[in-house]
Amino acid sequence: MKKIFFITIFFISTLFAEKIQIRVVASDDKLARYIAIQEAASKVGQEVIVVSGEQIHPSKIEKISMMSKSLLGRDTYEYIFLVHTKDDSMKYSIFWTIDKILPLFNFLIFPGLLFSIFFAFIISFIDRKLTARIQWRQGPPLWQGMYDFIKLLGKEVLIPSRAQKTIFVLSPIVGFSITVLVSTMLWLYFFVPKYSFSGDIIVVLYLMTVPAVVYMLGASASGNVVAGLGVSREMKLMLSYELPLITAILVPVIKSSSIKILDIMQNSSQPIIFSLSGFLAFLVAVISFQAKIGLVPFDASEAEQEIAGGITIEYSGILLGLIKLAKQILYSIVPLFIIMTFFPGGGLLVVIKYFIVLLLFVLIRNTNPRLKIGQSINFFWKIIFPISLIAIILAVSGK
Amino acid sequence: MEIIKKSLLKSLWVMHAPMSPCNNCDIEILDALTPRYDLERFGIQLVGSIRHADVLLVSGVPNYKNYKKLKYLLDQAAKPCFVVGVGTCSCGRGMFKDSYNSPCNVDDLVKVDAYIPGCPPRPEAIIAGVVKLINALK
Ligand code: SF4
Repeated sequence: MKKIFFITIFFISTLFAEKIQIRVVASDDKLARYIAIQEAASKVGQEVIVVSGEQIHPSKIEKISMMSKSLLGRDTYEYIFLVHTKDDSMKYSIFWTIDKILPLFNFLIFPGLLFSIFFAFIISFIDRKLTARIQWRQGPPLWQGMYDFIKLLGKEVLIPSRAQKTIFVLSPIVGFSITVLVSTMLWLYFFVPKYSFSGDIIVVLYLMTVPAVVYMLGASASGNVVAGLGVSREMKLMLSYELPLITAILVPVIKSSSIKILDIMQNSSQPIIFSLSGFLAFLVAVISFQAKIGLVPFDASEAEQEIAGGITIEYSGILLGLIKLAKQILYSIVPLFIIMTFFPGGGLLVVIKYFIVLLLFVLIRNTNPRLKIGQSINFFWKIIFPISLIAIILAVSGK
Repeated sequence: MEIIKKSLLKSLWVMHAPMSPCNNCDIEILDALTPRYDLERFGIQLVGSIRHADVLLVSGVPNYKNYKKLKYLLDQAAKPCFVVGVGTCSCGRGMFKDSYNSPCNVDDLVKVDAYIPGCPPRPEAIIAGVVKLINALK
Protein backbone atom coordinates (compact mmCIF):
# COMPACT_ATOMS: atom_id res chain seq x y z
CA MET A 1 0.00 0.00 0.00
CA LYS A 2 2.77 2.36 1.05
CA LYS A 3 4.66 1.49 -2.08
CA ILE A 4 1.71 2.35 -4.29
CA PHE A 5 1.32 5.64 -2.47
CA PHE A 6 4.92 6.63 -2.99
CA ILE A 7 4.93 5.52 -6.58
CA THR A 8 1.88 7.73 -7.17
CA ILE A 9 3.64 10.71 -5.63
CA PHE A 10 6.64 9.87 -7.73
CA PHE A 11 4.57 9.91 -10.91
CA ILE A 12 3.03 13.23 -10.06
CA SER A 13 6.47 14.63 -9.39
CA THR A 14 7.75 13.41 -12.72
CA LEU A 15 5.22 15.71 -14.34
CA PHE A 16 7.46 18.55 -13.34
CA ALA A 17 10.75 16.87 -14.14
CA GLU A 18 12.77 18.12 -17.08
CA LYS A 19 13.80 14.82 -18.64
CA ILE A 20 11.22 12.16 -19.13
CA GLN A 21 13.18 8.94 -19.17
CA ILE A 22 13.82 8.04 -15.57
CA ARG A 23 14.70 4.84 -13.79
CA VAL A 24 13.52 3.80 -10.37
CA VAL A 25 15.59 1.73 -8.02
CA ALA A 26 14.09 0.27 -4.88
CA SER A 27 16.81 -0.86 -2.57
CA ASP A 28 18.63 -0.06 0.63
CA ASP A 29 21.80 -1.24 -0.92
CA LYS A 30 24.43 1.28 -1.84
CA LEU A 31 25.81 -1.09 -4.45
CA ALA A 32 22.43 -1.27 -6.16
CA ARG A 33 22.24 2.48 -6.37
CA TYR A 34 25.71 2.54 -7.78
CA ILE A 35 24.76 0.00 -10.45
CA ALA A 36 21.71 2.01 -11.35
CA ILE A 37 23.73 5.15 -11.73
CA GLN A 38 26.23 3.29 -13.82
CA GLU A 39 23.49 1.97 -16.06
CA ALA A 40 22.13 5.43 -16.49
CA ALA A 41 25.60 6.69 -17.12
CA SER A 42 25.94 4.32 -20.02
CA LYS A 43 23.24 6.37 -21.71
CA VAL A 44 24.58 9.83 -21.17
CA GLY A 45 22.01 12.55 -20.94
CA GLN A 46 19.43 10.64 -18.96
CA GLU A 47 18.24 11.68 -15.56
CA VAL A 48 18.38 9.26 -12.66
CA ILE A 49 16.09 8.91 -9.71
CA VAL A 50 17.06 6.75 -6.78
CA VAL A 51 14.31 5.44 -4.57
CA SER A 52 15.83 4.44 -1.29
CA GLY A 53 14.73 2.35 1.67
CA GLU A 54 15.25 4.95 4.37
CA GLN A 55 15.23 8.64 5.00
CA ILE A 56 18.31 9.76 3.18
CA HIS A 57 20.54 12.09 5.09
CA PRO A 58 21.39 15.27 3.16
CA SER A 59 25.08 14.48 3.31
CA LYS A 60 24.35 11.12 1.77
CA ILE A 61 22.46 12.77 -1.05
CA GLU A 62 25.46 14.92 -1.66
CA LYS A 63 27.65 11.86 -1.75
CA ILE A 64 25.44 10.09 -4.24
CA SER A 65 25.16 13.13 -6.43
CA MET A 66 28.91 13.61 -6.37
CA MET A 67 29.30 10.00 -7.39
CA SER A 68 26.94 10.47 -10.28
CA LYS A 69 28.56 13.75 -11.18
CA SER A 70 31.87 12.03 -11.62
CA LEU A 71 30.22 9.42 -13.77
CA LEU A 72 27.99 11.59 -15.91
CA GLY A 73 29.94 14.77 -15.75
CA ARG A 74 26.98 16.68 -14.30
CA ASP A 75 24.33 16.64 -11.61
CA THR A 76 21.66 14.04 -12.17
CA TYR A 77 19.41 14.39 -9.16
CA GLU A 78 15.97 15.88 -9.19
CA TYR A 79 13.79 13.90 -6.86
CA ILE A 80 14.43 11.37 -4.17
CA PHE A 81 11.54 9.38 -2.80
CA LEU A 82 11.33 6.57 -0.32
CA VAL A 83 9.99 3.10 -0.97
CA HIS A 84 10.45 0.40 1.63
CA THR A 85 11.57 -2.94 0.33
CA LYS A 86 12.03 -5.67 2.91
CA ASP A 87 12.46 -8.29 0.24
CA ASP A 88 16.09 -9.35 -0.17
CA SER A 89 15.63 -10.62 -3.67
CA MET A 90 14.89 -7.09 -4.75
CA LYS A 91 18.43 -5.98 -4.15
CA TYR A 92 18.08 -3.79 -7.11
CA SER A 93 15.22 -3.68 -9.51
CA ILE A 94 14.42 -1.27 -12.21
CA PHE A 95 10.70 -0.70 -12.32
CA TRP A 96 9.68 1.26 -15.29
CA THR A 97 10.73 3.18 -18.26
CA ILE A 98 8.50 6.07 -17.56
CA ASP A 99 8.06 7.52 -21.00
CA LYS A 100 5.84 4.55 -21.83
CA ILE A 101 3.60 4.88 -18.82
CA LEU A 102 3.60 8.59 -18.03
CA PRO A 103 1.17 9.66 -20.80
CA LEU A 104 -1.21 6.89 -19.77
CA PHE A 105 -0.95 8.00 -16.17
CA ASN A 106 -1.54 11.60 -17.21
CA PHE A 107 -4.61 10.72 -19.19
CA LEU A 108 -6.12 8.28 -16.72
CA ILE A 109 -5.25 9.60 -13.30
CA PHE A 110 -3.66 12.88 -12.49
CA PRO A 111 -4.78 15.73 -14.66
CA GLY A 112 -6.90 13.36 -16.73
CA LEU A 113 -9.92 11.16 -16.13
CA LEU A 114 -9.97 10.63 -12.37
CA PHE A 115 -8.91 14.12 -11.40
CA SER A 116 -11.32 15.73 -13.89
CA ILE A 117 -14.22 13.66 -12.61
CA PHE A 118 -13.62 14.52 -8.97
CA PHE A 119 -13.02 18.17 -9.77
CA ALA A 120 -16.24 18.22 -11.79
CA PHE A 121 -18.16 16.74 -8.84
CA ILE A 122 -16.83 19.46 -6.57
CA ILE A 123 -17.60 22.23 -9.05
CA SER A 124 -21.11 20.92 -9.68
CA PHE A 125 -21.65 20.84 -5.92
CA ILE A 126 -20.51 24.46 -5.60
CA ASP A 127 -22.79 25.43 -8.48
CA ARG A 128 -25.83 23.67 -7.03
CA LYS A 129 -25.16 24.90 -3.50
CA LEU A 130 -24.79 28.52 -4.64
CA THR A 131 -27.97 28.17 -6.71
CA ALA A 132 -29.75 26.80 -3.66
CA ARG A 133 -28.54 29.62 -1.44
CA ILE A 134 -29.59 32.21 -4.02
CA GLN A 135 -33.04 30.62 -4.03
CA TRP A 136 -33.03 30.67 -0.23
CA ARG A 137 -32.90 26.95 0.41
CA GLN A 138 -30.51 24.39 1.81
CA GLY A 139 -29.13 22.64 -1.26
CA PRO A 140 -27.71 19.16 -1.84
CA PRO A 141 -24.93 17.41 0.15
CA LEU A 142 -21.29 17.57 -0.97
CA TRP A 143 -21.08 14.34 -2.98
CA GLN A 144 -24.50 14.61 -4.61
CA GLY A 145 -22.97 14.54 -8.10
CA MET A 146 -21.16 11.33 -7.25
CA TYR A 147 -24.30 9.72 -5.82
CA ASP A 148 -26.21 10.60 -8.98
CA PHE A 149 -23.51 9.11 -11.17
CA ILE A 150 -23.08 5.88 -9.17
CA LYS A 151 -26.84 5.45 -9.05
CA LEU A 152 -27.03 5.75 -12.83
CA LEU A 153 -24.30 3.09 -13.12
CA GLY A 154 -26.64 0.64 -11.38
CA LYS A 155 -29.69 1.40 -13.47
CA GLU A 156 -30.88 -0.51 -16.47
CA VAL A 157 -29.82 0.75 -19.91
CA LEU A 158 -32.78 0.96 -22.26
CA ILE A 159 -32.38 1.25 -26.01
CA PRO A 160 -35.53 2.23 -27.91
CA SER A 161 -36.59 -0.37 -30.46
CA ARG A 162 -36.80 2.25 -33.20
CA ALA A 163 -33.32 3.62 -32.51
CA GLN A 164 -30.25 3.28 -34.69
CA LYS A 165 -28.47 1.36 -31.96
CA THR A 166 -24.78 1.84 -32.73
CA ILE A 167 -24.91 5.62 -32.97
CA PHE A 168 -27.30 5.84 -30.03
CA VAL A 169 -24.92 3.93 -27.74
CA LEU A 170 -21.65 5.30 -29.08
CA SER A 171 -22.49 9.01 -28.97
CA PRO A 172 -22.40 9.51 -25.15
CA ILE A 173 -19.20 7.48 -24.94
CA VAL A 174 -17.47 9.50 -27.65
CA GLY A 175 -18.75 12.78 -26.22
CA PHE A 176 -17.50 11.85 -22.76
CA SER A 177 -14.05 10.77 -23.88
CA ILE A 178 -13.57 13.92 -25.94
CA THR A 179 -14.58 16.11 -23.02
CA VAL A 180 -12.07 14.28 -20.82
CA LEU A 181 -9.43 14.80 -23.52
CA VAL A 182 -10.03 18.56 -23.55
CA SER A 183 -9.94 18.61 -19.78
CA THR A 184 -6.65 16.67 -19.71
CA MET A 185 -5.09 19.03 -22.24
CA LEU A 186 -6.10 22.17 -20.36
CA TRP A 187 -5.02 20.85 -16.96
CA LEU A 188 -1.70 19.65 -18.38
CA TYR A 189 -1.03 23.10 -19.83
CA PHE A 190 -1.99 24.58 -16.52
CA PHE A 191 0.40 22.42 -14.47
CA VAL A 192 3.10 21.79 -17.06
CA PRO A 193 3.01 24.55 -19.70
CA LYS A 194 5.82 22.94 -21.70
CA TYR A 195 3.42 20.37 -23.17
CA SER A 196 1.72 23.14 -25.14
CA PHE A 197 2.16 22.84 -28.91
CA SER A 198 1.62 25.26 -31.75
CA GLY A 199 -2.03 25.55 -32.73
CA ASP A 200 -3.42 23.94 -29.61
CA ILE A 201 -5.98 26.69 -29.01
CA ILE A 202 -7.63 25.66 -32.29
CA VAL A 203 -7.57 22.03 -31.20
CA VAL A 204 -9.18 22.90 -27.87
CA LEU A 205 -11.94 24.98 -29.49
CA TYR A 206 -12.55 22.28 -32.06
CA LEU A 207 -12.70 19.49 -29.49
CA MET A 208 -15.11 21.50 -27.36
CA THR A 209 -17.51 21.64 -30.31
CA VAL A 210 -17.46 17.91 -30.99
CA PRO A 211 -19.50 16.70 -27.94
CA ALA A 212 -22.51 18.86 -28.89
CA VAL A 213 -22.45 17.51 -32.45
CA VAL A 214 -22.14 13.94 -31.20
CA TYR A 215 -25.05 14.32 -28.79
CA MET A 216 -27.17 15.70 -31.62
CA LEU A 217 -26.32 12.61 -33.68
CA GLY A 218 -27.20 10.30 -30.78
CA ALA A 219 -30.45 12.05 -30.04
CA SER A 220 -31.61 12.01 -33.63
CA ALA A 221 -30.70 8.31 -33.76
CA SER A 222 -33.07 7.63 -30.86
CA GLY A 223 -36.15 7.95 -33.04
CA ASN A 224 -37.99 10.11 -30.54
CA VAL A 225 -39.92 13.14 -31.80
CA VAL A 226 -39.21 15.25 -28.74
CA ALA A 227 -35.51 14.43 -28.95
CA GLY A 228 -35.70 15.65 -32.55
CA LEU A 229 -37.10 18.94 -31.29
CA GLY A 230 -34.20 19.21 -28.88
CA VAL A 231 -31.75 18.50 -31.68
CA SER A 232 -33.23 21.21 -33.87
CA ARG A 233 -32.97 23.73 -31.04
CA GLU A 234 -29.41 22.68 -30.17
CA MET A 235 -28.41 23.04 -33.81
CA LYS A 236 -29.82 26.56 -34.07
CA LEU A 237 -28.17 27.50 -30.80
CA MET A 238 -24.83 26.17 -32.02
CA LEU A 239 -25.11 28.18 -35.22
CA SER A 240 -25.58 31.29 -33.12
CA TYR A 241 -22.95 30.95 -30.37
CA GLU A 242 -20.01 29.39 -32.24
CA LEU A 243 -19.07 32.41 -34.33
CA PRO A 244 -19.07 35.00 -31.51
CA LEU A 245 -17.10 32.56 -29.35
CA ILE A 246 -14.38 32.08 -31.93
CA THR A 247 -14.16 35.81 -32.68
CA ALA A 248 -13.86 36.49 -28.96
CA ILE A 249 -11.03 33.97 -28.57
CA LEU A 250 -9.34 35.60 -31.58
CA VAL A 251 -8.69 38.74 -29.53
CA PRO A 252 -6.07 37.13 -27.24
CA VAL A 253 -4.66 35.41 -30.32
CA ILE A 254 -4.24 38.78 -32.10
CA LYS A 255 -2.83 40.42 -28.98
CA SER A 256 -0.12 37.81 -28.49
CA SER A 257 0.17 37.01 -32.22
CA SER A 258 0.35 33.29 -31.55
CA ILE A 259 -2.01 30.33 -31.68
CA LYS A 260 -0.23 28.54 -28.86
CA ILE A 261 -1.85 28.62 -25.42
CA LEU A 262 1.57 28.84 -23.76
CA ASP A 263 2.43 32.04 -25.69
CA ILE A 264 -0.95 33.54 -24.92
CA MET A 265 -0.33 32.79 -21.25
CA GLN A 266 3.17 34.26 -21.19
CA ASN A 267 3.62 36.86 -23.91
CA SER A 268 1.25 39.59 -22.87
CA SER A 269 2.83 42.31 -20.76
CA GLN A 270 -0.45 43.05 -19.03
CA PRO A 271 -3.47 40.71 -18.77
CA ILE A 272 -5.58 40.95 -21.91
CA ILE A 273 -8.76 41.63 -19.96
CA PHE A 274 -7.49 45.07 -18.87
CA SER A 275 -7.59 46.46 -22.39
CA LEU A 276 -10.89 47.61 -23.89
CA SER A 277 -10.97 44.99 -26.63
CA GLY A 278 -9.98 42.28 -24.15
CA PHE A 279 -12.79 43.23 -21.80
CA LEU A 280 -15.41 43.15 -24.57
CA ALA A 281 -14.08 39.81 -25.78
CA PHE A 282 -14.18 38.47 -22.24
CA LEU A 283 -17.87 39.36 -21.90
CA VAL A 284 -18.67 37.75 -25.25
CA ALA A 285 -16.72 34.62 -24.31
CA VAL A 286 -18.52 34.26 -20.97
CA ILE A 287 -21.95 34.55 -22.58
CA SER A 288 -21.08 32.23 -25.46
CA PHE A 289 -19.68 29.62 -23.09
CA GLN A 290 -22.87 29.89 -21.08
CA ALA A 291 -24.70 28.74 -24.19
CA LYS A 292 -22.09 26.09 -24.96
CA ILE A 293 -22.41 24.45 -21.55
CA GLY A 294 -26.19 24.72 -21.86
CA LEU A 295 -26.85 26.79 -18.75
CA VAL A 296 -30.14 28.44 -18.05
CA PRO A 297 -30.81 31.37 -20.31
CA PHE A 298 -29.78 29.19 -23.26
CA ASP A 299 -30.93 25.73 -22.22
CA ALA A 300 -33.90 25.53 -24.57
CA SER A 301 -32.52 22.32 -26.06
CA GLU A 302 -32.71 20.49 -22.73
CA ALA A 303 -35.72 22.22 -21.23
CA GLU A 304 -37.15 19.90 -18.57
CA GLN A 305 -40.53 21.58 -18.47
CA GLU A 306 -41.37 21.83 -22.18
CA ILE A 307 -39.59 18.98 -23.92
CA ALA A 308 -38.69 16.77 -20.95
CA GLY A 309 -34.92 16.68 -21.25
CA GLY A 310 -34.74 17.24 -25.01
CA ILE A 311 -31.68 15.52 -26.42
CA THR A 312 -31.24 13.32 -23.33
CA ILE A 313 -34.85 12.14 -23.21
CA GLU A 314 -34.31 8.56 -24.39
CA TYR A 315 -31.07 7.94 -22.49
CA SER A 316 -31.03 5.97 -19.26
CA GLY A 317 -28.53 4.31 -16.98
CA ILE A 318 -24.84 4.72 -17.59
CA LEU A 319 -25.31 6.49 -20.94
CA LEU A 320 -27.27 9.26 -19.25
CA GLY A 321 -24.64 9.33 -16.50
CA LEU A 322 -21.88 9.87 -19.05
CA ILE A 323 -23.75 12.75 -20.70
CA LYS A 324 -24.37 14.46 -17.36
CA LEU A 325 -20.80 13.89 -16.21
CA ALA A 326 -19.38 15.24 -19.47
CA LYS A 327 -21.49 18.36 -19.04
CA GLN A 328 -20.17 18.84 -15.51
CA ILE A 329 -16.57 18.35 -16.66
CA LEU A 330 -17.07 20.93 -19.40
CA TYR A 331 -18.57 23.28 -16.84
CA SER A 332 -15.52 22.83 -14.59
CA ILE A 333 -12.89 23.50 -17.27
CA VAL A 334 -14.50 26.46 -19.04
CA PRO A 335 -13.51 28.95 -16.27
CA LEU A 336 -9.98 27.53 -16.46
CA PHE A 337 -9.88 28.10 -20.22
CA ILE A 338 -11.13 31.67 -19.82
CA ILE A 339 -8.49 32.38 -17.16
CA MET A 340 -5.74 30.90 -19.32
CA THR A 341 -6.64 33.00 -22.33
CA PHE A 342 -7.75 36.27 -20.74
CA PHE A 343 -5.91 36.76 -17.46
CA PRO A 344 -3.27 34.10 -16.83
CA GLY A 345 -0.63 33.92 -14.14
CA GLY A 346 -0.68 35.00 -10.53
CA GLY A 347 0.27 31.87 -8.58
CA LEU A 348 -2.32 30.96 -5.95
CA LEU A 349 -4.48 33.88 -7.08
CA VAL A 350 -5.68 31.51 -9.80
CA VAL A 351 -8.07 29.91 -7.30
CA ILE A 352 -9.71 33.26 -6.59
CA LYS A 353 -9.90 34.10 -10.30
CA TYR A 354 -11.43 30.71 -11.01
CA PHE A 355 -14.15 31.26 -8.47
CA ILE A 356 -14.89 34.77 -9.71
CA VAL A 357 -15.47 33.44 -13.24
CA LEU A 358 -17.50 30.52 -11.88
CA LEU A 359 -19.59 32.91 -9.82
CA LEU A 360 -20.27 34.91 -12.97
CA PHE A 361 -21.67 31.79 -14.64
CA VAL A 362 -23.79 30.89 -11.61
CA LEU A 363 -25.18 34.41 -11.30
CA ILE A 364 -26.10 34.69 -14.98
CA ARG A 365 -27.71 31.30 -14.73
CA ASN A 366 -29.78 32.21 -11.69
CA THR A 367 -30.95 35.68 -12.60
CA ASN A 368 -32.27 35.04 -16.10
CA PRO A 369 -35.31 33.21 -17.41
CA ARG A 370 -34.99 30.74 -20.26
CA LEU A 371 -34.96 32.38 -23.69
CA LYS A 372 -36.98 31.02 -26.56
CA ILE A 373 -34.76 29.68 -29.30
CA GLY A 374 -35.60 32.57 -31.64
CA GLN A 375 -34.73 35.06 -28.93
CA SER A 376 -31.38 33.32 -28.38
CA ILE A 377 -30.54 33.53 -32.08
CA ASN A 378 -31.51 37.21 -32.21
CA PHE A 379 -29.50 37.90 -29.09
CA PHE A 380 -26.35 36.27 -30.41
CA TRP A 381 -26.50 37.54 -33.96
CA LYS A 382 -27.78 41.07 -33.36
CA ILE A 383 -26.04 42.01 -30.09
CA ILE A 384 -23.20 39.66 -29.18
CA PHE A 385 -21.68 39.16 -32.63
CA PRO A 386 -21.34 42.93 -33.40
CA ILE A 387 -19.72 43.40 -29.99
CA SER A 388 -17.17 40.70 -30.76
CA LEU A 389 -16.50 42.30 -34.16
CA ILE A 390 -15.88 45.66 -32.48
CA ALA A 391 -13.52 43.90 -30.06
CA ILE A 392 -11.54 42.46 -32.95
CA ILE A 393 -11.30 45.82 -34.72
CA LEU A 394 -10.09 47.42 -31.49
CA ALA A 395 -7.58 44.62 -30.96
CA VAL A 396 -6.15 45.00 -34.44
CA SER A 397 -5.79 48.76 -33.94
CA GLY A 398 -3.98 48.05 -30.70
CA LYS A 399 -6.47 49.20 -28.09
CA MET B 1 -23.59 -3.29 -4.93
CA GLU B 2 -24.01 -1.83 -1.47
CA ILE B 3 -22.69 1.50 -2.73
CA ILE B 4 -25.06 1.56 -5.70
CA LYS B 5 -28.02 0.98 -3.41
CA LYS B 6 -26.79 3.66 -1.02
CA SER B 7 -26.41 6.15 -3.86
CA LEU B 8 -29.83 5.23 -5.22
CA LEU B 9 -31.42 6.15 -1.92
CA LYS B 10 -29.48 9.43 -1.86
CA SER B 11 -30.52 10.50 -5.34
CA LEU B 12 -34.10 9.57 -6.09
CA TRP B 13 -35.27 11.24 -9.27
CA VAL B 14 -39.00 11.66 -9.32
CA MET B 15 -41.43 11.70 -12.20
CA HIS B 16 -44.99 12.74 -11.80
CA ALA B 17 -47.71 10.62 -13.43
CA PRO B 18 -51.17 12.17 -13.04
CA MET B 19 -53.91 9.54 -13.51
CA SER B 20 -56.79 12.02 -13.86
CA PRO B 21 -56.50 13.64 -10.42
CA CYS B 22 -58.48 16.70 -9.39
CA ASN B 23 -55.19 18.68 -9.68
CA ASN B 24 -54.92 19.35 -5.96
CA CYS B 25 -52.43 16.57 -5.37
CA ASP B 26 -50.29 17.80 -8.29
CA ILE B 27 -50.07 21.23 -6.79
CA GLU B 28 -49.04 19.78 -3.43
CA ILE B 29 -46.33 17.71 -5.16
CA LEU B 30 -45.00 20.87 -6.78
CA ASP B 31 -45.19 22.58 -3.38
CA ALA B 32 -42.92 19.93 -1.92
CA LEU B 33 -40.27 20.89 -4.46
CA THR B 34 -40.36 24.63 -3.75
CA PRO B 35 -37.62 26.34 -1.69
CA ARG B 36 -39.64 26.19 1.50
CA TYR B 37 -39.52 22.39 1.68
CA ASP B 38 -36.48 21.91 -0.59
CA LEU B 39 -36.44 18.23 -1.49
CA GLU B 40 -33.05 18.70 -3.17
CA ARG B 41 -31.33 18.37 0.20
CA PHE B 42 -32.25 14.65 0.06
CA GLY B 43 -31.06 14.51 -3.55
CA ILE B 44 -34.62 14.36 -4.86
CA GLN B 45 -35.13 15.98 -8.24
CA LEU B 46 -38.12 16.31 -10.54
CA VAL B 47 -37.35 14.92 -14.01
CA GLY B 48 -39.42 15.12 -17.14
CA SER B 49 -38.64 11.81 -18.79
CA ILE B 50 -39.62 8.38 -17.52
CA ARG B 51 -36.25 7.00 -18.65
CA HIS B 52 -34.50 9.10 -16.00
CA ALA B 53 -36.94 8.39 -13.17
CA ASP B 54 -36.38 6.28 -10.05
CA VAL B 55 -39.75 7.01 -8.48
CA LEU B 56 -43.12 7.37 -10.17
CA LEU B 57 -45.50 9.58 -8.20
CA VAL B 58 -49.02 8.54 -9.16
CA SER B 59 -51.92 10.74 -8.22
CA GLY B 60 -55.64 10.39 -8.92
CA VAL B 61 -58.01 7.63 -9.98
CA PRO B 62 -57.33 5.77 -13.22
CA ASN B 63 -60.19 6.08 -15.68
CA TYR B 64 -61.15 4.16 -18.80
CA LYS B 65 -59.13 6.44 -21.01
CA ASN B 66 -55.79 6.17 -19.27
CA TYR B 67 -55.71 3.08 -17.05
CA LYS B 68 -53.75 1.01 -19.58
CA LYS B 69 -51.20 3.74 -19.99
CA LEU B 70 -49.90 3.58 -16.43
CA LYS B 71 -48.60 0.06 -16.90
CA TYR B 72 -47.22 1.07 -20.29
CA LEU B 73 -45.45 4.02 -18.67
CA LEU B 74 -43.89 1.87 -15.96
CA ASP B 75 -42.65 -0.62 -18.56
CA GLN B 76 -40.69 2.21 -20.19
CA ALA B 77 -38.82 3.02 -16.98
CA ALA B 78 -35.27 1.90 -16.32
CA LYS B 79 -35.40 -0.56 -13.42
CA PRO B 80 -35.27 -0.24 -10.44
CA CYS B 81 -38.23 2.15 -10.44
CA PHE B 82 -40.54 2.54 -7.47
CA VAL B 83 -44.16 3.63 -7.45
CA VAL B 84 -45.62 5.95 -4.83
CA GLY B 85 -49.33 6.67 -4.65
CA VAL B 86 -50.03 10.25 -3.60
CA GLY B 87 -53.45 11.13 -2.23
CA THR B 88 -56.47 9.15 -1.10
CA CYS B 89 -57.53 8.69 -4.72
CA SER B 90 -54.49 6.63 -5.66
CA CYS B 91 -54.49 4.79 -2.32
CA GLY B 92 -57.98 3.39 -2.61
CA ARG B 93 -60.06 5.60 -4.89
CA GLY B 94 -61.78 7.28 -1.92
CA MET B 95 -65.23 8.52 -2.82
CA PHE B 96 -64.78 7.64 -6.50
CA LYS B 97 -64.78 3.93 -5.69
CA ASP B 98 -68.09 3.12 -7.38
CA SER B 99 -67.83 5.84 -9.96
CA TYR B 100 -69.06 5.00 -13.48
CA ASN B 101 -65.74 5.92 -15.15
CA SER B 102 -63.28 4.25 -12.80
CA PRO B 103 -62.35 0.67 -13.71
CA CYS B 104 -59.79 -0.18 -11.01
CA ASN B 105 -57.37 0.91 -8.32
CA VAL B 106 -53.83 2.04 -9.01
CA ASP B 107 -52.52 -1.02 -7.17
CA ASP B 108 -54.57 -3.31 -9.38
CA LEU B 109 -52.46 -2.05 -12.27
CA VAL B 110 -48.95 -1.80 -10.83
CA LYS B 111 -47.19 -2.71 -7.61
CA VAL B 112 -47.27 0.34 -5.34
CA ASP B 113 -44.31 0.65 -2.93
CA ALA B 114 -45.65 3.43 -0.70
CA TYR B 115 -49.01 5.07 -0.06
CA ILE B 116 -49.38 8.66 1.05
CA PRO B 117 -52.99 9.26 2.13
CA GLY B 118 -54.63 12.66 2.45
CA CYS B 119 -56.91 14.71 0.28
CA PRO B 120 -54.63 16.32 -0.68
CA PRO B 121 -51.64 15.29 1.50
CA ARG B 122 -49.63 18.21 2.82
CA PRO B 123 -46.07 18.62 1.48
CA GLU B 124 -44.81 17.49 4.91
CA ALA B 125 -46.79 14.29 4.50
CA ILE B 126 -45.31 13.72 1.03
CA ILE B 127 -41.77 14.21 2.38
CA ALA B 128 -42.53 11.86 5.31
CA GLY B 129 -43.85 9.30 2.84
CA VAL B 130 -40.72 9.47 0.71
CA VAL B 131 -38.51 9.17 3.81
CA LYS B 132 -40.52 6.11 4.87
CA LEU B 133 -39.99 4.61 1.42
CA ILE B 134 -36.23 5.23 1.71
CA ASN B 135 -36.15 3.63 5.17
CA ALA B 136 -38.13 0.65 3.97
CA LEU B 137 -35.74 0.10 1.07
CA LYS B 138 -32.63 0.18 3.30
S1 SF4 C 1 -56.73 12.68 -3.26
FE1 SF4 C 1 -58.09 14.42 -3.11
S2 SF4 C 1 -56.81 16.12 -3.76
FE2 SF4 C 1 -55.80 14.26 -4.45
S3 SF4 C 1 -56.54 13.95 -6.52
FE3 SF4 C 1 -57.88 12.78 -5.16
S4 SF4 C 1 -59.56 14.18 -4.74
FE4 SF4 C 1 -57.91 15.42 -5.57
